[in-house]
Amino acid sequence: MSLLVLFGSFGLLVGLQVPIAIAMGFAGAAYLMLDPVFPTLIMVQRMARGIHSFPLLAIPLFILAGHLFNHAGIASRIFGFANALVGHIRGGLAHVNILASIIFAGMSGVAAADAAGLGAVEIRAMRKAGFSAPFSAAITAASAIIGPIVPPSVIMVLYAVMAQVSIAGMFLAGIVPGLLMGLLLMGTVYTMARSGRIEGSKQNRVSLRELATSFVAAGPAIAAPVLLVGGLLLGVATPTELGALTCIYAIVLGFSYRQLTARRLLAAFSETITSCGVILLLIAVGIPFGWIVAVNNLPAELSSFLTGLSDNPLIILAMINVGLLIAGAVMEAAAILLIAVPIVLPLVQSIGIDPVHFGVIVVLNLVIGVTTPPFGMILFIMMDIAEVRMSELVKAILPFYIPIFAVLILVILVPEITLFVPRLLGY
Amino acid sequence: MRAILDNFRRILYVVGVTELAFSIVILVAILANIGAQVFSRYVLNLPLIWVEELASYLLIWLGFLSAAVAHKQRRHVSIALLHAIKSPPLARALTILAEICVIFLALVLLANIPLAIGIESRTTSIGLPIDIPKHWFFSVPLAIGAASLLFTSLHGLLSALTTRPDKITPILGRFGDHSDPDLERVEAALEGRTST
Repeated sequence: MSLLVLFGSFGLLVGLQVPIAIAMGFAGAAYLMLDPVFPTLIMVQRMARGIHSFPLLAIPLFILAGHLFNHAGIASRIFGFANALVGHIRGGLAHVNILASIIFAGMSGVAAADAAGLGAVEIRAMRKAGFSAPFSAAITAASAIIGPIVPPSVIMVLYAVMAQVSIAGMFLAGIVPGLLMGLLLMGTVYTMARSGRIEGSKQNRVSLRELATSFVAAGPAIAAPVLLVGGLLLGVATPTELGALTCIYAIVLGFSYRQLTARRLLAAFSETITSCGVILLLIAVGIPFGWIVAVNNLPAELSSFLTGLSDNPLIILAMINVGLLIAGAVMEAAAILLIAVPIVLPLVQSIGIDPVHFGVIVVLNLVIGVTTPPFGMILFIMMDIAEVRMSELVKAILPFYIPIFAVLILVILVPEITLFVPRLLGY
Repeated sequence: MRAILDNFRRILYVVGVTELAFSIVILVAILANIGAQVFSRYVLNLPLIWVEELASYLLIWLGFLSAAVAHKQRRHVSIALLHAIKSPPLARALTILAEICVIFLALVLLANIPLAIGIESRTTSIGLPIDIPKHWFFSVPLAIGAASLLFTSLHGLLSALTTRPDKITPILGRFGDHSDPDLERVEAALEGRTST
């Protein structure tokens, strides 16, 4: 049975606005119905077993952690501390925005949660300080993509499970690229501010006492990513267990701040259920889809095709990157991961690229996709929060693609950027 | 027809709230399970052998129940390629197509459930205190999720055929308090720190 049925029906239905998970499930079921060898029973068996995985439990737990922190009233404390620390640098609140996103990225596993929660606070503060709405939205979108790179990261959990690599290793591999992206974004803001391309008022430098006060106020919140990374480094618990501990910590923190009411707790849990429903159904239908691709020998055929074009690993990696970037601009990240990883991972490993290094490259490509028109999800969230048009937002975000792509290229060319930390700790 | 659809919708709403409540209970149970595992290992020095197995079975239940909840909220991700074309007949046709796809997928899954249950019931859980046939963790949650998707989309299909597309609303909305506790506090904190 030709894979044309599988990919053709999937592509057509996605183009006709059928939900991606449903289109993927439909394509898999239709393929199996027409196939004379494999029964449709495979669909049922693979779907349920596809999400039967202890490591995958980290996904709902880190989604829940993000929503709990959003409702726990910590955004203002993180923002206040970041403001005291870097608000006086030329570019003011734009730097604060990036630093706050880096800190929040260490608590939440989803870029959309970062953008929607902290993003609303950041944009409102920047608008009040005189920054334009498109610029405020653009820097918030650009910094939100640090979320899935710095641990914890839902998309990294999914990659690790699919590629059968250590989740902790993936998390540790994302730390340096995430921080590097934050630094380069701040460098870009500084350059723009110096050349007068950023409007908005500047911040006064705070006294050491004020800085200490803001640190004390934000300390318990900042402790969450420190405890998470510390837990990973020391190996005291699995990433799934750390996810559960982070959630418990967020609940305790929210109640101690007197922000987490029963109704806000319900909001956090019900939003998590919705997010879980979306991603777990995608994974469930993605598993039989990937299985069909594998039994049709597509990975081997793609491998021989690409290695026929070039035997240089960098050129092959570049071709895969271009494919992922294009896919990321039009498709949901988890869906791409579910389709692409089983197809390209055997090839990548055969040319000697470390699967953890490749994982970070894949995640970078996919998170760049969520800030890329025409369908980048973060862009739509920003348009909604900042009330700007897509054209204004895209124009404002263009300068930030330079540091974002610079990090991607650096990560591709210098594997040590990703592999140094996990190797240091034996992953 | 309108009265039938309204009653159908009310039933689906109750089903959706029940699914959401069960999903939250499962999520809390997963959290408590894994929290207990860490506590037991480090404080009592007594690792609980059944935690990983139970938690990963609960994930399957969570997956299919929450997928049904997300479908009732119309939150499954789609790509609005044709969003710019503001045509009610096109919107109706796209909705009908999406609902038919869900119905097809759900029917394929439900048709295979009895066979899958027959196979899975031959084996039981391993580490849990009591032996439970495996279909309770695999096929049964999938069957419940698929049935829920089927009925929700049947309602969606009938609604699309009889109602204007812009009048169709999700069966389930958002729950809880979604107000942001941070917005005013940030503005207050910024007061006095800015100079032009």
